[in-house]
Parts: sequence; structure tokens; C-alpha cells
Amino acid sequence: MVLLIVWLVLQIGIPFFRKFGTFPFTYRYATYSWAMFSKPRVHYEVSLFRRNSNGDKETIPDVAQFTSEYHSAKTRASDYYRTPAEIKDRFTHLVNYIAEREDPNFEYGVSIHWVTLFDPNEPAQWEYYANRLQK
Amino acid sequence: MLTAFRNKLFSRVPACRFATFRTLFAFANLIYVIPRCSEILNGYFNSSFHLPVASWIPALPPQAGWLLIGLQYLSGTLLFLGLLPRLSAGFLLLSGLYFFSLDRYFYSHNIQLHFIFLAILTVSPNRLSLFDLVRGKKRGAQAEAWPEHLVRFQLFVIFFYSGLDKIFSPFWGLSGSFFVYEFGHPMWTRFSPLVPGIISVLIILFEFFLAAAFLLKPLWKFAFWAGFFFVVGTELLISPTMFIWDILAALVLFIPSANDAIPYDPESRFDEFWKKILSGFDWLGRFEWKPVHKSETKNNLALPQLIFLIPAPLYLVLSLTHMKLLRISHVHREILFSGLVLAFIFMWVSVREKKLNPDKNNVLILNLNRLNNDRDLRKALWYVSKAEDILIVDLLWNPAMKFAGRNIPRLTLAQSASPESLSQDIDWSLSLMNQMETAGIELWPAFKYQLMANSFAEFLFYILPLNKLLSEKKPDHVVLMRNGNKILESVSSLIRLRNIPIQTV
Repeated sequence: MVLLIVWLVLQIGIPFFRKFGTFPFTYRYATYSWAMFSKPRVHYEVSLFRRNSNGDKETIPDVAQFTSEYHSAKTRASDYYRTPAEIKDRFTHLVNYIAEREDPNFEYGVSIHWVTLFDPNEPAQWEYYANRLQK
Repeated sequence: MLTAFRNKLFSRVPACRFATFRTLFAFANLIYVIPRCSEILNGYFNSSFHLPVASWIPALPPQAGWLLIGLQYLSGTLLFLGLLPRLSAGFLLLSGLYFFSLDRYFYSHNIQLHFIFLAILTVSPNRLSLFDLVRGKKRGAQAEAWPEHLVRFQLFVIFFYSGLDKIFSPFWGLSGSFFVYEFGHPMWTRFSPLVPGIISVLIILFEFFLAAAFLLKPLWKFAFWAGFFFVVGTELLISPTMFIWDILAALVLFIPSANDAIPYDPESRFDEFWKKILSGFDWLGRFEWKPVHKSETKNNLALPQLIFLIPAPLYLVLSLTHMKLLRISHVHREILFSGLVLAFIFMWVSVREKKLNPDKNNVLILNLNRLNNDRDLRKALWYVSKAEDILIVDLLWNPAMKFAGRNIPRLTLAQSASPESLSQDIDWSLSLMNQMETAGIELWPAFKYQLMANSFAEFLFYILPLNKLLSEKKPDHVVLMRNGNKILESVSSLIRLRNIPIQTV
């Protein structure tokens, strides 16, 4: 009986606190909170590449071993369902991961162009670079 | 209050209902979720970069991955068959959680719901297997109600929070900005700029209605159809696959047990064959088979048509249309799916109408409710609306009513009882008892008692006038509107004695 009540309280409580946090309960979009379709897809174009010492963009030769979804340095349209922050977090980790394993004489980067985005304050382009030697 | 809550959770309900849910859910698990896990693993092994949900989650080597997939298929099959269901569900839950936590990219609301249902199955004590459901031998088995309530409560939580989120979300709100964002300004916004907002509000209201229908028992009768149309519509619009099959399986918990008496001729091979087929799929025990000789069968419904009144075959066929092995394009898949749904709805309505709208001319509607229940009465009238001659008979006085432009006369049983004929009626009642016993009709114990004790008035005012009425009116069909009334058995016995078919509403 106690376990059943705990289960019911968790099922109703977790989504509430994920959505509204603690007092003063301000709304935010959150996963694990049953927010189906309340946030439109973020449409964006991604390009993964490396830069030589002159700053010229090049193809990352064996990018397929790191991610099967993107072909360097082609641009690929995508519409990952959740927030730009999550997308940035994912690609930051990916670029760091590639930089740690690839030729240290290059700088590795990602460029994202937001095709449709709700927040007007967000710049249309976001880029991130990593280099093992600079760390 | 806590005691009432406890009683509700631990009350006994038919075990076949939750077992049917488990079987259908396990079927969807076998044909969608495990292949999806397999796809995920394929992608996982093809690239080395992953962002697990937590850093301590160990990476999965390929051999162990494919071994786990093999074990998932084994557990899925066991869960479908209802063999070691808790162990199988537990394994599917843990291995699934592991697969989906290997990368944050794999998360979806669909899979979250699926895992919650697996968790409920892991702790549910229901042990009725698929073989028990098909054979129907343990149809009377009962189980604790709490696993059913947990599933229903989960449906409430999903739709409640989904509606709530849409109200507060700046991307949806009450203005319909979601639609403008996703679809631009299509034709329909030219009629009025309010259209996206209206659609937005209607969807939010419908989600709240669904949440209420899943939680509150008086609304359960709407829950099945509202949920069915919602998920089927969602499937056609956005194809979320796994979600709709999990919800459709859970909707089984809102189907009431019907106990429809289905006449069949035990000497007919055709009837026997279809009885076996229908019984094999009637996992919820909706049909009660009555052996009747062909010449006495007054049912105007062919047995094969009854397949549309039981949910399991529909679910199995519909979900197979989305199976990956069926190598057809997305458009063809949706056409096949919607065609089957439309065929089902058409056949369901047609069979319901045939079943409940018998080809009779002289129909008597017997209202055993003590109140003038107009809504139920109109339902009964709809069932027999093709009949030429309809008479409503009530226990208590009620005014005549209008239905589909016709004036339907009403009669009160007590009106025709007369004190003068008392001694004559007593003689008749005793001979009626003898007739019934000779004909082998089991008398309701209180029926005899009614003749001799305090309830005699009820017998005098209801049963005797009804017998007279049946003699005079000679109806060829009776619709019984019942409401747990204690004279129901006496009335049914009396009507059966005259070999008049009864339809209960």
C-alpha cells in the first residue's frame, strides 16, 4: 500500500517539479515531464570540419568512425527535437571528442546555422572549435 | 478515506482484462521495441562517440549487445505467452533502460511510457497466460485491481501534463503559435487569424478531457473511443508508432464486460467452427454461448461478424501493418492502416446495429428502472428504431415520449392490475409456477417467496400484468432495460417461457 502511494506520488510529482521547479514554480520545457509536442522542432544545418594553420576549412577524413550521421564538411539539415542548448552541448562534446583523437595540428570545429528558431535573441549562427594542443 | 482508497486498489476484478493488456502490449514490444533496440545498437556500434545519460554507465561491447538482443526476444516471447511474465518484464525493463541510457539522443516520451508499463508488469501479480485466455477455462479468475488502476492513472498523468504543458509553453500557449511556426500561414489562417488559437485550445481541452476520462469511472465509457480516435489520428498525422500501440493496448482496460448471449447451433459444424475461433480470441469473455437449435435461433447476425466486437484480433492485425518485416512504403502503410481502421469502424457500427436492431416488427421495451431514465430509453429506442410497433412499458408511470418524429406510447404495468381479478390471478400464478418447473426453467428462489410473503404486491402489480400484456400484445422481441432490479430474474423467466428473444440494455 505504501509503495503504491509512493509510486503515484512520484508519477504525479516528478513531471510537476521538472516542469515548474520549486517555488515560485516558473514554467520551463523539460524532458521526463510529459511535454509531447509542446515545443516545436528546432530546424538547423550542421557542418563538421577542421581548420589548418591558415584557417582554411577541410574535411575531417575519418569522421564516420565518430558519428555516422554527418559527413564532413558537408552541411546537413537536421531537426533534433529538443532545445538549442542540448544541441550545442552534444556538438561541443563531439568536437572535443574528435579533437582528442585526431591530428593535433588541426583545429576541429562545428558550425550550426539555425534555420527556424523561436528565440529572436539567439544569433543565427553558432560555431565551436577545439584543439588538443590548446587545452 | 484511506480505507476506501485501499479497498478500491485491492478490490477483485476479472483477471482476464489485465492479462489481455499484457498480451497485446507484449506483442507491440516484440514487433516494435526490440527491433528498435536492435536498430539503436546497430547505430551505436557504427560510431564511437556517445553521450550517455550518466558518465558511469558502462559502454556495451558488440557481442554482449547482440546477446542481450537475443535475450530480449526470448523475454518478449515469454511475456507475450504469459510465461514467467514478471521475470520477463523485469528483464525487458532493465535491458531496455540500459540500451536507451547509452546515449541521451535515444530518449523519447514514447519509450518512457513503455518502460513505465513494463515496470507495472514487473510487479503485477497477474499470472493468467495466453493459453488460459485462448482456452477461456479460467474466465472467472479474479485478480487485485491495483495494476489496472496504475495503468489508468498513468494515462491520466500523461494527458493531464501534456495539456498543462501546452498551456504554459511559450511555443504553444493559447494563441496557436505552434501551428504558425510548423506550418507557416496556410489557407485556413486566411479565414480568420484566430484559427490557430482555436485549434490550439481545442487540442488542450481534448487532452484534459482524455485525462479526466481515464481517471474518473463515470467517464470510462467515453475513454475507449476518445482514446482510440486520438491515437489513430495521431498515428496518421505524425506516426509516433510505439506510443499508439501502448495506448491502444491500455484502452482494453476500459472495455466493459458485455456477457452478450450468443445463440449457436451445436449440431452445425459452421457454428461450432466459428464458436471456437471467436472463443479463442474473446480474451475479455464478452460472449456467453447459448446452445439453441437452428429452428429456434432468432438471431439475425452471422457468427463470423462478431469478430468485430472483440478487440484482440483488431489490435493484432492493425499492429502487423506497421511491422518492419512488411516491406512497404510509409504512404502505403498509412493507407493500409487507415483502410483497416475505417473497415473496423464500419463493421463495428454495422454489427452493433444488426445485433441490437433486430428485424422485428412488434417490440416491447420493458423499463425496469424505477426512474424515468430518458437517456437509456432513447438508446433502447435507437436499437429497435426499425420496428413498426413499439410499446414502452414502465414499472411506474411515465409520460409518452417522442423519438425520431414518432410518438411512442407508454404503459405502466401497475395500471392493468385489478383487485377484482385477485383470486383468478393467484390461481394463474400457481399454474404458472408449475408450467415453469415442468418446462425446466429455473425459478429465481425469491420468485416463489414473492407469491407468499410481503413482496406479493410486487408480483401482483408487475409480474401478473406483464404476463397479461405478453398474451395480448404477443411481441416478437423484448428489450429489457435493467438496473439491478430484483424482479429482473422473474421477468426474464416469464419472457423466456414464451420463447420471446430478449435484448438487455
